[in-house]
Amino acid sequence: MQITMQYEAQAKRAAGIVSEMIEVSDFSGVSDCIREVADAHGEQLKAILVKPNGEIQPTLLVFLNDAHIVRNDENALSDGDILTLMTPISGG
Amino acid sequence: MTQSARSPLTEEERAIYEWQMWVDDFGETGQERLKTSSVLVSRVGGLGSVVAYELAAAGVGTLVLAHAGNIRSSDLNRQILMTHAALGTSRVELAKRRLRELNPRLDIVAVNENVNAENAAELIEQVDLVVDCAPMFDERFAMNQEAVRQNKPLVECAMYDLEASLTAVLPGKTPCVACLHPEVPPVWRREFPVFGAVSGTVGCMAAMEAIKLLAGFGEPLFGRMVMLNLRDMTFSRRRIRRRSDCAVCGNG
Repeated sequence: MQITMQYEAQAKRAAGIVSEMIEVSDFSGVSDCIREVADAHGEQLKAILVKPNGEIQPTLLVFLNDAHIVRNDENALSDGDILTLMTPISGG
Repeated sequence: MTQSARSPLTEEERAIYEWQMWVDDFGETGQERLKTSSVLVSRVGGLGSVVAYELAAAGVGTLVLAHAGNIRSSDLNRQILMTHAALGTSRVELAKRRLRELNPRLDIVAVNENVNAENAAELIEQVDLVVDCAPMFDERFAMNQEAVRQNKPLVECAMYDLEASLTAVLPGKTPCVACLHPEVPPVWRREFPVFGAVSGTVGCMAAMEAIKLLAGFGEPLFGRMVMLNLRDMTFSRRRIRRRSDCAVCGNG
């Protein structure tokens, strides 16, 4: 199935793109998609998305379509879903 | 939240606030509530200076401003309460002076400290509402923890580059800052790309959220986060969720 990945804040800068379409297996979840793009885009984005032990960074704000995801392993995906990854910002 | 108490307006105040009292659902009752309200603005930098300015102009009766340090050249592209002539002097004292020039009817408390775990309780005890404009997550976490403990609403706003985010926290009812960010993010740095027009945009929006909450009108951003991207002028409003295991507002 095809998932659109969107990047916001520092994740966008590290990825070097605003969004992209990725192809994942039909049984993939949110965590699978995040690991997929973390591996594909190099160390700068990977450090933002995934901890050294492989855990998804808990500080990452993840939205499946417009819904906030607080447990990355709980959500089934459907073809055409949009997954938005936003790194926390604190500029004041 | 409980709306603030009311205090009758003087004729001078009616003249000053006349045009905003024409706003539907606000009126003289809303203005009387603002007059008795108090707000902590954490830092008066690019974001907080605009929040404080708009709250002062609108007639919020008491502003507590917390910001340590002196004015530097690199503040002047965005911190609109600061001036070239005052370089090297206290940010918060100049902010107080300039806000009093704008609206001498207000009580303004200048605190030459940033919010931290030691002073958060005392600062938040003085106010009805907090607007969080801090550039560091440890300050945001300290404010959030104490606002939740004291059951006071918090307007949470932030920016980076040409992007910004805004939400309103109602303790125990909506996600708090720790629900969104359960630990200090590894990639955030003290210095960040910023135009004053970006911090000013979200600062005005945060001030409006505070005014709505204090006066009790409109639809606050409870459980919603607005994200702005001024690079392509897209705005989104997304639902956000509480964490049941949140260390601050959940069972964690």
